[in-house]
Amino acid sequence: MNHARASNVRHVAPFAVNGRPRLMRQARDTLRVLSVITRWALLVALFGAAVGPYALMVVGSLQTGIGIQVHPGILSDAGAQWQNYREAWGQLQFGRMLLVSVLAATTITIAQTCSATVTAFALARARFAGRRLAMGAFLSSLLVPAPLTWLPAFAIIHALGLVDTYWSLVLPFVVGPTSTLLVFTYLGSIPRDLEDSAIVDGSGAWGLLRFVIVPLAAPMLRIVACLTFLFAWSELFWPLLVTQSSTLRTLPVGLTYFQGEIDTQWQLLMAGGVLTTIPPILVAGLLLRGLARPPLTR
Amino acid sequence: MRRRGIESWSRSWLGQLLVTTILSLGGLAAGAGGPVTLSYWHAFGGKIGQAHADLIREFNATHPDVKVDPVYGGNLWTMRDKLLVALGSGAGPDVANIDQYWIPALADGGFAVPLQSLGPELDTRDVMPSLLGTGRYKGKLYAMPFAISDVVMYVNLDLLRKLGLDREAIPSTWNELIDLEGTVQSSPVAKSEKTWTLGMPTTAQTGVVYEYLITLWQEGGEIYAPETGDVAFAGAAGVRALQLWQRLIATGALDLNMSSAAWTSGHLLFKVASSANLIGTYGQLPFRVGVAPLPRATYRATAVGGRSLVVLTKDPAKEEAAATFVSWMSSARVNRQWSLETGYSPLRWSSFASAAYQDALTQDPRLGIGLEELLYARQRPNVASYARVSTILGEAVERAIYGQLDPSATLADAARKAQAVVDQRASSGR
Repeated sequence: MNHARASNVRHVAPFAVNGRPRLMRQARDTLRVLSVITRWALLVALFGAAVGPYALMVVGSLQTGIGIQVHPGILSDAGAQWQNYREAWGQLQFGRMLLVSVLAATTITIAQTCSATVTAFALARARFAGRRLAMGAFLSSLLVPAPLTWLPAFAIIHALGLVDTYWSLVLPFVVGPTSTLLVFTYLGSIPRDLEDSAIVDGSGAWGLLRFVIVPLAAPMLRIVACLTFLFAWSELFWPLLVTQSSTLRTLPVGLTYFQGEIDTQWQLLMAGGVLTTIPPILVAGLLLRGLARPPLTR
Repeated sequence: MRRRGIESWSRSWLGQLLVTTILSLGGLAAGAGGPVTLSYWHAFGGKIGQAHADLIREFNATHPDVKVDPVYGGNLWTMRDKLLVALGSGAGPDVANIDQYWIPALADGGFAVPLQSLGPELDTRDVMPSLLGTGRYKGKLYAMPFAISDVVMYVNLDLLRKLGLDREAIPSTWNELIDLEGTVQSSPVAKSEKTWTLGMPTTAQTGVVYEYLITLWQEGGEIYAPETGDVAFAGAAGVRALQLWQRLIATGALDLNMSSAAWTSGHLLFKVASSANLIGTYGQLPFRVGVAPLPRATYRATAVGGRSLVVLTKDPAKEEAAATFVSWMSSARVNRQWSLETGYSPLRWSSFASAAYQDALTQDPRLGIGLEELLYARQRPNVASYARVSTILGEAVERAIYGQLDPSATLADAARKAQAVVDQRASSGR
């Protein structure tokens, strides 16, 4: 093997400059350029796939109703139809729906993140009879398709007399198995030594959770909060199911109003869609800010 | 002292009784005089939703004894799920505006009230029979038609002219349409820009079964045998209908890869769709739109369907109010106004014969095509198994046209599965 390499070196030696084979260097440079181009092409393609639909929605929100169907993604000679935003806002009682959506999603996010932290802490650290069973039961609830839970969940909300109230939007989502699983998995990576030190210093379970676990699990809790907010924000069927009053309707429910069986108002649907995506983008930016940096630099 | 105390107590007691009685009577009087509130669920969004909201406002303004509280249930599918979940928990609405083929489930579940049991207020005498048929189940009228349309063929008249064709070239049979495909594709227009001849649903998801049923009827077939109720779509007529679909595709007249914007961008010549599209969506297209009867096969037929009003309350006071509401919504005057604003068919001969509707017909004769087609229109069968059977049939049609499978074998396989559903329903008493 060494002999063969030596023989190659000898063979290319006449083309070498400063003792390095020029052809190999050129090939390496070409490969490097190709690699950079491929990476950028891939990044641009992925960026296009992620942002493209949103860009189409923004352009669509500025088109006429028929223009969006005839030439989707291209503004007509009539120019940008900014009045679509005013019309979408006016037709939907947008301000009221925005308030309900923000309140419901924020309450669900806070409640579910707190419940996930406490539950995951108990399941990960506490020793009690039936812990494994509780864990199994908790996780198995992830396997039940959501539509199967609609009827029993609605029956409970109805029996509690909460149909068409703000609480009906929030209560079923106070506990989230996925959030709990995420926090539970993350807690497994936190060294127990830190907790032992706190216990030696006299900390109880509450102090341990508040001063050790929560600060250490903060990155995961922010991710959980972000995912919960996005889920709660975009939920369509449950708010539609449990609310009757227009004053309790959330934005995703409101947007369906533009979608008629034979006369969808695409331009208003797009304008409403753009407005509806602004709050979750702000929340995600706020919660995930700084998470991409390595832990030691935070 | 003691006596005065008793007298005082008696007076106080009597006074309280008197006050309570007065308040109770007052309350009863107020209750008796107040409006009956009906919760009413519907799925009308978009511009049609605004026209519908106007009707509810008008009803509430003109009926002080009934207050209709409309609840928007999202699109037709979310509305169905919302309704079924709520009814399952005893929290359904008093009246709902539903798709025709939910009627068997609502009637069999004991939720829908037969409309004739609500008294004589609901007048169905001059409702067109093919439309009234959409609300009948097991011999009883459970739903009053409200937003009904049939299937017609729209024509891009500008494209027709660009292709060098005149209105005489609009096909009246499927064979003529297939023959026209060669003319369309050989024209200079089709060579310079992509041009499609026919657009209609081709997947189960987009409702191919609805259009397939029309071709089945046009070939003289039935989805269920009238005498036995057994599945009958796999017979010779069903096979001929499916062969027609395959021929449309094989000749290129129906392109499975057609752009979804082909019609709105003006590159599609004929589009099969609901007659209700004419006033709303198609009225704004940047080309002239014509309307033609559906091409026929052996016979002439089209399908009729849409949304209807059902009464779900079991409260006698509310039933009366619901009858008033349904009766008003389907009255000749309201129906005429609704039809003219939305493009849905008039339900009553009196609506059709009214001066306002006749004026509209004179101004836009295209409206008359959908009405003329009603003479040949049939409704989907109102039987409990239809929802599942139509899904099986739709999936089979999709497989056969995309895979160019043997029509006879594909339909026979689907018929076996569908018959199992029918048998299961029969054994469970539905």
